[in-house]
Amino acid sequence: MIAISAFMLIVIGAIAIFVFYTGWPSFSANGLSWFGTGDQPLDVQLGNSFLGDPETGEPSTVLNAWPAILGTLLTTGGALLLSFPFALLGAIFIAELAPKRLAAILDPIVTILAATPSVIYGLFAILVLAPRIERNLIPQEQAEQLSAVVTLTGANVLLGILVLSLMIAPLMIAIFADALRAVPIKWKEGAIALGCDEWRMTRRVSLRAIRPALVAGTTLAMGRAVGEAIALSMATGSIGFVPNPLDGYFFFLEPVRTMASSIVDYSEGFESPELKANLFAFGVILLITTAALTIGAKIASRSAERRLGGGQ
Amino acid sequence: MEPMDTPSNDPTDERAARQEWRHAHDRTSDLQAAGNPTDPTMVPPVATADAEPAGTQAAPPAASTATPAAAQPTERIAKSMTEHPAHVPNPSDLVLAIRGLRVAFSGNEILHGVDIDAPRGAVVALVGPSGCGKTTLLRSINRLTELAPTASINGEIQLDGQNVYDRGTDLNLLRRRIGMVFQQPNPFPMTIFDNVAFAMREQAKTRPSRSSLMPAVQDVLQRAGLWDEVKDNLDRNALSLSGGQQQRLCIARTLAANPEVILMDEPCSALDPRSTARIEELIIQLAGSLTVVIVTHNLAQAKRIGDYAAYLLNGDVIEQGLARKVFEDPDQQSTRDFVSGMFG
Ligand SMILES: Nc1ncnc2c1ncn2[C@@H]1O[C@H](COP(=O)(O)OP(=O)(O)OP(=O)(O)O)[C@@H](O)[C@H]1O
Ligand SMILES: [Mg+2]
Repeated sequence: MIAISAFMLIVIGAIAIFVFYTGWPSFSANGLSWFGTGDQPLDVQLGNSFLGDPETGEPSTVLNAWPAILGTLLTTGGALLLSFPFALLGAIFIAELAPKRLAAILDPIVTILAATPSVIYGLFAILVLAPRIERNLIPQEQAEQLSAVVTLTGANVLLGILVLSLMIAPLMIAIFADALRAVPIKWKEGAIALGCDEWRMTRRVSLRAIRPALVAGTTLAMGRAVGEAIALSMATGSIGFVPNPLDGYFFFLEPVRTMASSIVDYSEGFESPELKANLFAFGVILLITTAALTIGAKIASRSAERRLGGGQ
Repeated sequence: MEPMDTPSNDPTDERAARQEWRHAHDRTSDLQAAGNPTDPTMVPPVATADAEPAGTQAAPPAASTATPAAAQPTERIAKSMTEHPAHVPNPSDLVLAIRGLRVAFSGNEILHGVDIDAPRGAVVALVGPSGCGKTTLLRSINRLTELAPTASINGEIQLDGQNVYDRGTDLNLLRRRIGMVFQQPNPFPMTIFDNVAFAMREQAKTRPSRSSLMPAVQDVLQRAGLWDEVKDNLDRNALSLSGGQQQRLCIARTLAANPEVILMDEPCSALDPRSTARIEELIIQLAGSLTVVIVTHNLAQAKRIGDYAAYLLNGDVIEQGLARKVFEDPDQQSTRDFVSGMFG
C-alpha cells in the first residue's frame, strides 16, 4: 500500500513539475498581464506564438489569457447553476420518490450517462443541438448586425453550458442519490413519526444530512467541467472571443474558447516552444484550479460533517 | 447528585412520587377540559363519566355523552376497575382502544387480533418475549407499519373514538397526535435547538423566528429534563450529546409536537442505568398530562412505571390489566411463567 501510494505521489509530482516547468516561460514573459485582456484577440496571440510575430518574425510569447479564463468561468459556472437544481431533483426522484422498479431502470442509465465519453456529448451537441439553436434562437437580422464583430452560429456559450450540464448532471445525480439512499432510516422514520410527509422529510432531514455529499459531488462536477476539452471545443464555437454583456440576450449566443479546449485546439503546434509554453500555462492554471477544488471540497465536507454530524 | 438521578428500587416510592406530582398538576381538570367538554369540571377520575360498562358504579346521566364514540373497555380491563386504585388513571376513559388488530408481512401473520386499552393519562407497558410483535403493534398505532410495502393491516385502532385507519385520516396530523420515541436515540443531524424546534417549524404556516420559538423550546427541554445540561449550548450538534441525553432530546422533540399519546419502543435499551432512571422519572412525570404506551424488555421497569400492562405472546395478548395485577398476581399460567422467569 505504502509503496503504491508513494509511486502515485511521485508520478503526480513528476507530472506537476513537468507542466509547471514547461509553462513557466509564458508566465515569466507576460507577468500579471497574462491574466488580463490583450490588444489582440486570443486566437491571434496563440497563432503568433506558433508562427512568430508577423512584423518582425521574432518568436512571440505574448499571451493575455482573459478570454480563455472567462470562457472556462462562463461555461463551468453556467453549467453548475443549470444542472445543480436538476441533479438534486433527479436524485430525490430516483432515491426517494420513484417506484423501486423505475429506480432500478433509471439507476444504470444515470451511471452510463455519467461514464459516457465527452466526445459523444460533443457530437450530440454539434449535430443535434447546434442546428436547432441556430435556427430557433438566433434572429438573422441581429446576427448580421453583429457579424462585423463575431459570427453567431449554433455553437456558442449556451451550447457549451448545455453540453457541460448534460455531462455533469448525471455525475451529480449519481453521487447525490447514493448519499440520499445512505441517510439512516432512523432519521427518516423520526421525521415521519413527527408528522412530516415524505417530501418535507427529504427536504428538512435528508438534504441536511447529505450536505457533505452535495459539496463533494458539486466539486467533482466542477472539476470535470473545468477540465473538459473536447466536448467544449466542439460546442462553444472555439473562438477566443470575449462575449459582451452589453449584447444582452446575445451574450449567451456568442462563442468562447475555454482554457482546456485551447490546449486541444492548438495541440498540433507543440513544435513551437512559445506556443507550447502558452498552452502549458493553461495547463498550470487548470492543475492548480482542480487541485484547489479537490482540497477545498475535502475541507468543506469535513467541516460540514463536523457541524452536522454526518460522520458519527 | 440530584435525587432525580438515583433510581429508586422501591416501587412504592415511585408511586407516591407520581401521585404527588399528579395532584400538583391537577390532572383531572386538565383532562376534563380536554376530553370531556360537557362534563362538570371537578369530578374525580374514578367517578368520571362512562364508568357504566364496568357495571360497578352508577353512571351519571351526562356520562354517555362525554366521550360519545369511545370504545368500551375490554372485559379484563373493566373487571380490574373494581380493584382500581384512586391514583391510577380511569380505565373507562380510553384514549386508545385497539380492537382486533391483525398485522401480516407478506402473508405471514404477526399479530392475530390484538385488543389493547390505553386509559387516558396512563402508562401502559407492553411486555413479552422477543419477536412476539410488540414493535409491530406499537408502530401500527401511528401507522408506521404500513411504510413496509409487504405489510397488511386489519382491525381498528381508535384514538378518542376515531379509527386511525379510517380512509380520511390525515396521517401527518395523526402522527403529531401520537408521538413516537424509538429504541435507538435518533436525533437529527442538526443542532439541539433545530431538533426541538423541528415539529414546531413543521406545523407553522410561516417560518417562525428563533426568538419566537425559544420559550416553547425551553419548555419542552425542561419537561424532558435536559434544559440545564444544554441551555448554554443549544447550537451544538445534537449528535455530540451522550446517548441518554440524545434520548431525552428525542422525547423533547416529540413533546414539541404536543402529542396526546407517546409511543416508546424500548427507549432505555441503549442506555446505561443512570440514564434509564432519568427517563423513567421523566415518563412518570409526563403521564397524566399525556398517555404513554411503552414497550420494554425490563419487567422491573414495566412494574416501576406502568399503570397498566399487557403481556403479548406470539402475536396474542395473553393478559392485560393493572400492572400490579399482571406482574404480581397474573391470571394466566403463561404470564406467571414469563413474569417469574424474569424476576426469579
Ligand atoms: N417489516 C417487516 N417485514 C417482515 N417481517 C417483519 C417486519 N417487521 C417485523 N417483522 C416480523 O414480525 C415479528 C415481530 O417483530 P417485532 O419487531 O414486532 O417483535 P418485537 O416483539 O418487537 O421483538 P423485540 O422484543 O425483539 O424487539 C418478527 O418475526 C419479525 O421478523
Ligand atoms: Mg421490538
